[in-house]
Amino acid sequence: MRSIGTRQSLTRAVAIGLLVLLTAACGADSEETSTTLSSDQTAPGDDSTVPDDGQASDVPGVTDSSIKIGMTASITGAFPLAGEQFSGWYERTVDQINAAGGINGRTIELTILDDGSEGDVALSNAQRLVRDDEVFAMTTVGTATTAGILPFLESEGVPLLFPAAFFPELIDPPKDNAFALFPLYDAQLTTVIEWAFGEFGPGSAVIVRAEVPAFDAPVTAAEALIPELGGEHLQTINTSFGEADWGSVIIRLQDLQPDYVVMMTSAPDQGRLFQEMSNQGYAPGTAVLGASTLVDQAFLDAAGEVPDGTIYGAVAGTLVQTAPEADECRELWPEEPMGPYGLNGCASAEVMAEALRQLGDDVTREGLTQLLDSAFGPFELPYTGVIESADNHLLNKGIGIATITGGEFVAATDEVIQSDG
Amino acid sequence: MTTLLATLVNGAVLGLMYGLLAIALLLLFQTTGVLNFAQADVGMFLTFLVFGILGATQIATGWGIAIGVLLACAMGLVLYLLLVRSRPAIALDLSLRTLGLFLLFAALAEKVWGSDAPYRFPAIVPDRSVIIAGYSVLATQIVAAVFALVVAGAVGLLMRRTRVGLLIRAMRSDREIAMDLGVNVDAIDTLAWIASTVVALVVAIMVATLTFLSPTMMGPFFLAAFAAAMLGGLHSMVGALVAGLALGVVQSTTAVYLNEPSWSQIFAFLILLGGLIIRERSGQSMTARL
Repeated sequence: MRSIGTRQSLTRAVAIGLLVLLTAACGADSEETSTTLSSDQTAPGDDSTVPDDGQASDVPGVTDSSIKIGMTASITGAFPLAGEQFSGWYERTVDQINAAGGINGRTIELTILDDGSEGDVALSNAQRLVRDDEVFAMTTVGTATTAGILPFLESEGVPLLFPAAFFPELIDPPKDNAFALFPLYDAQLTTVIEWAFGEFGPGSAVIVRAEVPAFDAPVTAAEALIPELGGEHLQTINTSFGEADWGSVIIRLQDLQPDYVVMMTSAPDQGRLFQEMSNQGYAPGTAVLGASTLVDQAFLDAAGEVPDGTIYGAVAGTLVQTAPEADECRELWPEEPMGPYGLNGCASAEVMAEALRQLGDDVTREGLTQLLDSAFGPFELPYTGVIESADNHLLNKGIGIATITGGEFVAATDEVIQSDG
Repeated sequence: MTTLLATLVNGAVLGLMYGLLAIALLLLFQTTGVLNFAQADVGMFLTFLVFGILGATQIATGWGIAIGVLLACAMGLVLYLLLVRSRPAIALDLSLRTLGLFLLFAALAEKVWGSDAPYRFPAIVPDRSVIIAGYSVLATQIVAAVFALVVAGAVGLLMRRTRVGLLIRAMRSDREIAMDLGVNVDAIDTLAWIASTVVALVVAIMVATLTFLSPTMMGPFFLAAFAAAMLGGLHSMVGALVAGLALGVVQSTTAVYLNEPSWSQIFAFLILLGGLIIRERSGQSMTARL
């Protein structure tokens, strides 16, 4: 009896333990963020707020002296670098605009809230910004979190301006209130493949992807494009986020011997894959290609030494962040090494300000959405492509191509390529 | 054929890591009857401390790890005092307490280090590799494999050939009678908590070196190690090591030939569930026979 009792107790302990471990594993992201985040936690952007002593108008967030803009950003949590960089440079760009006199006599009052990549926190941030703070418009950092709050902003009629978010539903179908500035992963991936095939010649390709829905569209687009351009799509290898076994991927790549390896997963995972390729002495025949996640410092940090000219990544909406044309933005925060999301932050704030400038004194949500829908631009920053109104509300179809030389990202093309968007 | 051999080698290397972590679990379980669900995350937390020390002091990695081993000894002792000695309980309750500990360490690491993760842990051995069956095995992986085999062998010898091993086996058989016979169970319990924490640290450092240092890095390894320990029968280091190897090979083969990463985890859990059911039935039939 004692033996059975002990076994049953042990079995119960194991069952309970597994349940807790599985719950923790499945909800790792939310647990990670819930411990570190609070919707009250604000990024440095809060310091930039300007006392609102102007005359209130009927338009939420707009007075004679200020315009309120809100941001919920993944500053901590699963992907903190993007949020930190985007919000940091966005805030400094706004500071610079305010210091230069603001927009048509109004300063921008910016409130940044941290959502830690957490969907429910992002939604509560958005509700607070819209209902309590009464912001005029919003922007965001984070693909999943933005997808989660988009319906709320749509129902409230709050303009969502140029978020750092890459999911098809942001622009397909176009929403009355949502406007994008950075081409999505499918445009990024197809543009870099087309550019590489033109530069080095078509060839065989293997796509290594994380098995998440966000990458379905870009991978499908790449699989279709490769044969169209005279190449051969050998296989798509599925992996997980935070993959523990990259050795299996290398074994298959060695077996398939592609000219190109196309990566579509997170920046650190791509770095680990590249590191494992180096460990195994493997390199594709021609190059490694990827979307903006390949042109991220997190990739470089994880990959270790990357030989010159072995990887080429797409940069969404701008030239690579190290391009001389981006100096103006980089110098706003000289002590911080700028990544692509930093440059995105500058671009997003600059284009938001330009749109408000073009509205003149009559700042309304309807006026803004009408302007962006059909009458904005052509407008160009030194480091972006042409920005103008488009049917699908993607205002910038430009994509830069970057590579690594001497351990640093450099532009592989002098100009931003206009993609199909 | 080369692909298959390379897959087997890759799986074996992965499996030895699972086996090594399973050994850390068994070190404690065999002695105290406690299944420490926080084992892997304690190792992760200590690895972050070592990483912090290395960054702050710029000392050699080896010295950092040596300090880490001392910290692990202290951590093992503190955990024993807090979790066990402060309010003694049966092994089942103590195992459940470690679940709370697991959540605590995971949340703490996320809070302190999560925002900038993942990190690259410095190499612990020279950046060299050996080609086996067309697959390049890194020096770190070889060290991990040798360490796993040495620990398994050493613990096996300790249990079978030494007086301490005899006492542990006596405790495992009947703790109360062992106490009545004068066995210092507290000392042996303390030793087990310390030893298992040190092994957990070593495993976590190896995982961090081979992948990244992050609060979530041990997740996939711990689940597989847990499965290996269960499949090994919870009383056999060699069994756990072999089970870990088998799991690693199954996962690697699944990844290479099925191209479905999610199936790797599913297979691991199917094997674990199957193993648990078989063990439960065989345990009941054995008891019935007795």
